[in-house]
Amino acid sequence: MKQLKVKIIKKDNISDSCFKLSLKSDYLKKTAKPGQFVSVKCSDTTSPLLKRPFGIHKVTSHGIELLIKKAGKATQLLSQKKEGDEIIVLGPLGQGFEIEHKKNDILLVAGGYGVVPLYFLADQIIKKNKGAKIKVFIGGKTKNDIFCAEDFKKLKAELYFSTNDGSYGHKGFVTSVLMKEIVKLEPKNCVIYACGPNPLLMAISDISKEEKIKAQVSMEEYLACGIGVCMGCAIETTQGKKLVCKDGPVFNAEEILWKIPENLNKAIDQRINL
Amino acid sequence: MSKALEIKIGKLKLQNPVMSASGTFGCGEEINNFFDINKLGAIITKTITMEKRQGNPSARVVETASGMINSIGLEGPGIRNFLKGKKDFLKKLKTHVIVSISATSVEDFKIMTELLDEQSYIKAIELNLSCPNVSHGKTLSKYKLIAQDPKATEKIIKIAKKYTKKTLIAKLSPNVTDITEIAKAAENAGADAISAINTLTAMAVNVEKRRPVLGNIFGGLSGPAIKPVALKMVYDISKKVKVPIIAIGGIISAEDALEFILCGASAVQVGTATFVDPFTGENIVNDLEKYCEEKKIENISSLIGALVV
Ligand SMILES: Cc1cc2nc3c(=O)[nH]c(=O)nc-3n(C[C@H](O)[C@H](O)[C@H](O)COP(=O)(O)OP(=O)(O)OC[C@H]3O[C@@H](n4cnc5c(N)ncnc54)[C@H](O)[C@@H]3O)c2cc1C
Ligand SMILES: Cc1cc2nc3c(=O)[nH]c(=O)nc-3n(C[C@H](O)[C@H](O)[C@H](O)COP(=O)(O)O)c2cc1C
Ligand code: FES
Repeated sequence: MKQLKVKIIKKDNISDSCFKLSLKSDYLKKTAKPGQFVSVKCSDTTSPLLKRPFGIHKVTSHGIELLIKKAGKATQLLSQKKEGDEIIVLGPLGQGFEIEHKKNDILLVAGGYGVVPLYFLADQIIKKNKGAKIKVFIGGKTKNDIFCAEDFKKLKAELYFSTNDGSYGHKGFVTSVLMKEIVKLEPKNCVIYACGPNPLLMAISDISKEEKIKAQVSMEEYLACGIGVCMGCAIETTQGKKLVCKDGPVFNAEEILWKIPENLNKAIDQRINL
Repeated sequence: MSKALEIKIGKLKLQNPVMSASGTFGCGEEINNFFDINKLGAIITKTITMEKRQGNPSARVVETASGMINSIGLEGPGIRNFLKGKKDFLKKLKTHVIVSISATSVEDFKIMTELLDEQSYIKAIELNLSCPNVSHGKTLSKYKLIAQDPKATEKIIKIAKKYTKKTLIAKLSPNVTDITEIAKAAENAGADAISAINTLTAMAVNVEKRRPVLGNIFGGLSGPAIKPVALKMVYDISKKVKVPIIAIGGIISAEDALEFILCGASAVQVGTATFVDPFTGENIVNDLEKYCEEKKIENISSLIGALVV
């Protein structure tokens, strides 16, 4: 892990609300593992103050690529950077996915920009396991929240889509599409890797338990330091408190103790509004 | 390294006046990956408690205008596990190790002080009398925090003083009517130095969800946003007490540190700025050194309280 000043060598706006940054860094290229993230200083002033975490989307011939959704002030400022600008980046941070080499039916489940680390993961799995059959399930609120379909197609992955409003793919939860495919497969040969909002990951944990399929989920929390010194990102696990930034962001689904929502209907609403 | 930055806090001679603020630096292992933390005047550990503590529910941190609110709630392993787990790392450090402690009873303060007193590698103790995210318990004071009550402040410092000869630092809260009253109580009780300030109680609201952002509803505000408040408090305290003041609050640069020194601080602690840039502590040391060289300042202590008003 290092703090580096890196050059933006390419910037692509992939929609009104989403853009890609290609960063030049030999160090990040050599050290990044799927599921790890970097923390980016988005302004030169004290507002916004803290760095912002972004998953590593791709490793390129020059460095790494990020895929960022404009969510608020910091991401808005970052979206105004131009090719040739330099930004301060801390990384690679956290523990990535642990690739299950013996499993051939790979199920990747993404909500919104949850595709970010899963693309890097799929790319690595294909390079290491020739027998791997990858199915990618991408869910979003509308078709504007579906990213990276073309990239996954190039990896020869099978793609499944769902949107809450039915504007693209199946209308409803991404988990219902996933369940339809799971029943056709042998649980022993399957592994699920998921990234997205908490209600989705909670649903994946349930599926993992009920279907006896191993699952790894990449969690999100508000981060302050990103390196394990502030204890700001602690979550409850079966082994006590763990830090999303240092012990995660990827965890085995079975080790996470989900907060029981006070109002289950609200949680279901949230699940719909991924 | 030149001697221009050397200062004294209690019995300790520090190579420079820059320290880490408790809770923003762990025990230094992570930051040591970025720069040699022996370059700092001292390091202050996360506040240690008697027993293991789980801390508050998530979310525990949120950014606000030029600052952040945290509600960690003193999560930690408890003093015995701390001593077991961190001894090897802390013992090897060449810089001074200061351990921050907090407790909910006089008895626990006593036991913890005794335990730390036995460890020769620990050079000073900072009594955290001011964490806004936990209650110090009804037995100590009718107020939530010890540092809101001059009598309780005095009592705890006297107890600690009785059980250790090490340098004792009292860390005070800005969440009071008159911080100088508490500072005087701390000095009278025998504190060797005063750290100010801890975080200001604060909250953040999510309008869409109509909920507080933090799991604990309330937290403590830190970062550049609180610097002007901290400056005034340090200035006020310096007019009322003789013991050295260690200033804390929104320091991100050597210039910030100098502002506090001019207002009467002998040393400074870097907190939230370490999250923004892990090198902040080292940068401030280097820049202070450069400043003294350029301005031909023989020793930085000549600037303490040198504000012209
Ligand atoms: C490990 C990790 C990896 C991430 N990877 C990516 C990625 O690859 N691409 C991407 O676009 N985003 C990613 N994010 C989320 C991204 O960090 C936030 O969207 C960003 O910090 C928002 O900053 P802002 O100032 O623009 O918005 P803010 O004004 O800070 O927030 C805008 C909205 O986003 C929510 N939000 C902000 N930060 C977080 C957070 N850390 N977790 C959950 N909700 C948050 C806020 O509650 C608010 O509703 C990741 C987050 C984490 C923790
Ligand atoms: C995440 C976080 C955790 C903290 N934990 C502690 C703690 O354990 N003990 C303590 O005395 N102060 C703690 N503080 C307060 C800081 O030491 C410091 O007093 C305060 O943040 C103001 O300084 P700053 O603006 O430089 O951060 C914490 C602050 C933050 C932001
Ligand atoms: S963000 Fe500071 S410990 Fe994880």
